[in-house]
Amino acid sequence: MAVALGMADWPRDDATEPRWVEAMAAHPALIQRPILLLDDGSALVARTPEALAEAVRRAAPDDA
Amino acid sequence: MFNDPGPPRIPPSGWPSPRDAEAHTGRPAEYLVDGWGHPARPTAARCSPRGGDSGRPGDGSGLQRAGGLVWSSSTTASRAARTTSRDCSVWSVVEIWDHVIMEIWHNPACSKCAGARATLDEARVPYRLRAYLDGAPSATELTGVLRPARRPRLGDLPHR
Repeated sequence: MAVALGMADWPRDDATEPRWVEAMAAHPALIQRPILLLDDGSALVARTPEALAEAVRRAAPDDA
Repeated sequence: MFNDPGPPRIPPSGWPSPRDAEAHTGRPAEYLVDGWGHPARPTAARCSPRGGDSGRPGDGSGLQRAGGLVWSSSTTASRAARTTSRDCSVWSVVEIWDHVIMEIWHNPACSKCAGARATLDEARVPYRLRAYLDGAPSATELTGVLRPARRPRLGDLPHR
């Protein structure tokens, strides 16, 4: 899909952000995964142990 | 004070489908997972929460019944899961829709997603699994993820 849309040639700048967003909304398979949304308003892509550890740290139960 | 029920039990066939979750909760087709890696679903009568509504953590309070569901009114969702899950042999009774501390945009075919869930289950972090391939995020949601300052807290999000 990314190839079909020619995304490799899309600029990665603020002006093009709506175009990327619309493409992801139309084709959710384009979205990097897994994305974790945290209650503190942050979000991260948890593909590495480091990112996961950070997610756990932010969400850890306070009695852990 | 909590009895550890052991490692998460997630039989592949035991997961409620998004449709089942929707039927149980009257809410959108997303998975609920408590701090034990169990699917969460509405409580049965024998799984009534204990404690009052003092909000004190760790004693089961802060759990309230609402419309046949049990939900946690505080940030102690994971504690609540621990408190109640030992009363239920299979299912957790904690309804975490109203206080979600984490949402995963989840692709069941993605090994990285499975790895993330395993880590969170091990850390006893409750979360909501969102099958984003079945219900694509809106442009507004995506923008919110890209620019977190624009995104409301999870608990404030309207249920789709």
